[in-house]
Amino acid sequence: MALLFDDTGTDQWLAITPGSMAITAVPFTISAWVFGDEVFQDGTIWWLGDKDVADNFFRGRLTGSAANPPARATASTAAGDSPTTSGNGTIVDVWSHVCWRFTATNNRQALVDGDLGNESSGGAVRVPAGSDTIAIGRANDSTPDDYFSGRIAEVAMWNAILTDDQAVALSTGFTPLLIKPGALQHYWPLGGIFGEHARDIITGDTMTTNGTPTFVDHPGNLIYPADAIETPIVPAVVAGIVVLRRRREAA
Amino acid sequence: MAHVTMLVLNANAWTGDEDAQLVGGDAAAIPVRHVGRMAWAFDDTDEAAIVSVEAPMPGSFAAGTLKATIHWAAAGDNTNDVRWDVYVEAKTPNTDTLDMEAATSWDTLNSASDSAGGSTVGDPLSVDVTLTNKDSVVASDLVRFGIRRDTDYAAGDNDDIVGDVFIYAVEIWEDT
Repeated sequence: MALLFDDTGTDQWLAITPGSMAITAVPFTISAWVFGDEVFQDGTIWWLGDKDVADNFFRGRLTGSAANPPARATASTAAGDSPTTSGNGTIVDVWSHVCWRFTATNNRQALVDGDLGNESSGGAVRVPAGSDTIAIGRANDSTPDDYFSGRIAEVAMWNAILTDDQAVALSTGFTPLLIKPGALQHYWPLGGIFGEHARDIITGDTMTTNGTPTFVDHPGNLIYPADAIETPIVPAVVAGIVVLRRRREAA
Repeated sequence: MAHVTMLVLNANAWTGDEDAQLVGGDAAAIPVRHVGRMAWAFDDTDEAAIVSVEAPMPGSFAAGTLKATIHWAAAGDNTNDVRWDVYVEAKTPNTDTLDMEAATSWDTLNSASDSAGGSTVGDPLSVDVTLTNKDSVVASDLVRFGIRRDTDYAAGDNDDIVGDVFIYAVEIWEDT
C-alpha cells in the first residue's frame, strides 16, 4: 500500500526532525516511486533542509512544465533555488520511478524511469546548511508549500552516489535494501510488504503524519530481499515404513 | 551417494559485494531482471561479487562434502568459459568471536570453471563447486556464502566468456 497525498482538501505530508541527521550535505542519492494524479503538477516529493528558514534545503519535486511533469533536483540557499530538470516526464496516473543524485555542490541529477539519456545534471554551486528535517509531500521550510498530489512509495536515501546501473536497477523494481545497502541511511516503504505505516525501516523512527493521507495500492512488481530456503528431507522409519518428511517448507 | 539440499539461495537472497569483502577491488554485481526473472550480472572485465544472506546451517547437515550448484547463463557467448570463486563464512554462536557489525571471516576460495560451449546463447547452465574450504561449518552454525567471477583467471579453463554472465540461483547441498 502506497501513501496517497490528496491536496484537494486538508494539506497532507510527512515530516521528521531527527535528533541527528544522517545526511546533511552532498554526496547523496534519494529515490522514490511516484504516482502523480494531476497534469502540469508542481509538487514536492521529498524535502531535506532547515525547517526554520526560508531557503536552505535540498528538494526533489515534479515541475509543471509539461502535462507529464518532469522531475527536478534542487538545492537552495539565500542565493536562490538551483534546479535541474529531467528531459523526460513522469506519467500522470502511472507509477514512475525517480532517482535524484546530488553528486557535488554544483551537480544535481534527476533520473526518471531509468532513462539515463534524459537525466538532468549541473546547476549552480549551492551549499545548503543547517538541515534538521526531512519531509515527504511538501516543501517544509519556514513557509511550507508545494504540496504533492498523488501517491508516493519506497522513499530511500543513501549517503553515497549510486552508479548508473544501480539507479537503473531501482527503476526496474529492485527495492532499496538490495541496492548498496551499506550506504542506505533511510528507507520508508510507505506500505507494501512492510505494512501500512510511516516508519523508517533503517532507523526505526516514524515520521509524523500530517493531515490524513491514506494507504492505497503499492507499486507492483517490486523485488524484495528473500531469506535462504531450507529444504532438507529427513527419512524416518515408522513401523517398518520409510517416511520422507520435509522438515521445513520454503517460505 | 545422495544429493541432500541444505539451502536454496534465490537471486534475491544476495546483495552486491559493496565492500569488496571477498577480494579487494571487486565491484558489486548488478541486479537485473530477465522477463521477470531476477539475476545478478557479472561483467567480463571488472571482477564483481555477491554475498548471501545469513542462514542457520540445517540441523541435518552431517559435516560431509558440501557443494554449491550455481545456476547461470551467458548473455552472448556459447563458446567460452567462466570461472567462479565461492567463499564460505561460518560462525558458531555462543562460541566464536567475531564482531558481526564490522568484521568478516571468509575461508579460502573454492573455484570451478564451466563452459558455455555446446549450448545456445542464454541457455540455463549449472556448475557444481565443491566447497572444500567451508570454514568448518557444522549444523546450526550461522553461515553465509560469497561468489565472484574471476575474470582474470588465465590458467587452464580460463575465464574468457565475452560479455555478462548471470547467476539466477544457488543451491547448497551435501553430497552424502
